[in-house]
Amino acid sequence: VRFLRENSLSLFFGAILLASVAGQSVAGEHQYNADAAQHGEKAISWAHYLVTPEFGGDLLENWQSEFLQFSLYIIATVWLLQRGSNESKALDDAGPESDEEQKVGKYAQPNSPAWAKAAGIRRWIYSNSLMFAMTAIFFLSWFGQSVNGWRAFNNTQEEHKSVHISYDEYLVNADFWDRSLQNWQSEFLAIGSMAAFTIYLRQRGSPESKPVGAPHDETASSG
Amino acid sequence: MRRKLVTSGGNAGGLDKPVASDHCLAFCGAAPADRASSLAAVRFVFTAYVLLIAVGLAFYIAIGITNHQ
Repeated sequence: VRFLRENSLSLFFGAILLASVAGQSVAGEHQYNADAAQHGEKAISWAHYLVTPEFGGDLLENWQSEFLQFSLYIIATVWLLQRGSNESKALDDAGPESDEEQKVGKYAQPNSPAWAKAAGIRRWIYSNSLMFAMTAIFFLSWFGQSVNGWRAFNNTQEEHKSVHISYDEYLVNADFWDRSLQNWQSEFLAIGSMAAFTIYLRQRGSPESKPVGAPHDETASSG
Repeated sequence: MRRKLVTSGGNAGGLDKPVASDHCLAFCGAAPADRASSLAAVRFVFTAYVLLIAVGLAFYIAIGITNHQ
């Protein structure tokens, strides 16, 4: 019970992630087989659909945009501010802040992570490790989207008796950029509106909001 | 997402600074066995997410590269 309570946030999102992927795969297989029937081709099983580039591309094109969103947000919020927003840090804290504020080096606490106490490259890596991880996942997902999207695009070309294109050609093809940008715009809208909405709107009890009674111009507080 | 500032709640006056908190943010006062099991659980959750992402990425990048049909 304590395990569930102390980890409920991660477990909840992990569970609805798996449920959503399962739902996406079932709906995607139906769509795939409907298209196949229109082109006079055989239907495939759900298990077979899971290993098609069509499913892989759809999965990873959404992954990449989420990790792009967080990578940009993590790095942008080091320097960029929004007065009154719970998503911004305090107005006079812009920048990477002092070692004392960040509790690194000689200011590290006894229970600080070892690489926060270390000097040089190890501290630099650990100081940026969240951004490095999210950015690496973004680029890998985007690459995965591109190769799967390329294969799926050529499968469609084949169905329409059109010529295949090379991977290089796919990277400048409208299909690749349409899929990328349609996901990016929604992420940027959501994150920008979150920064702006938390100036005036509240959710009692949520750390994603200011306390309900906090003034509109109070920046960076968390409820 | 951002640095969390724990406020005492309702701190009127438009403060841009965090105020002292009486919340315990780590394992203050917890028994060593409780702390060890909680840390193990947290490590499990973290590792599960890392593995999920790593396996998903590796699997579907391989599908795309090998043109699995």
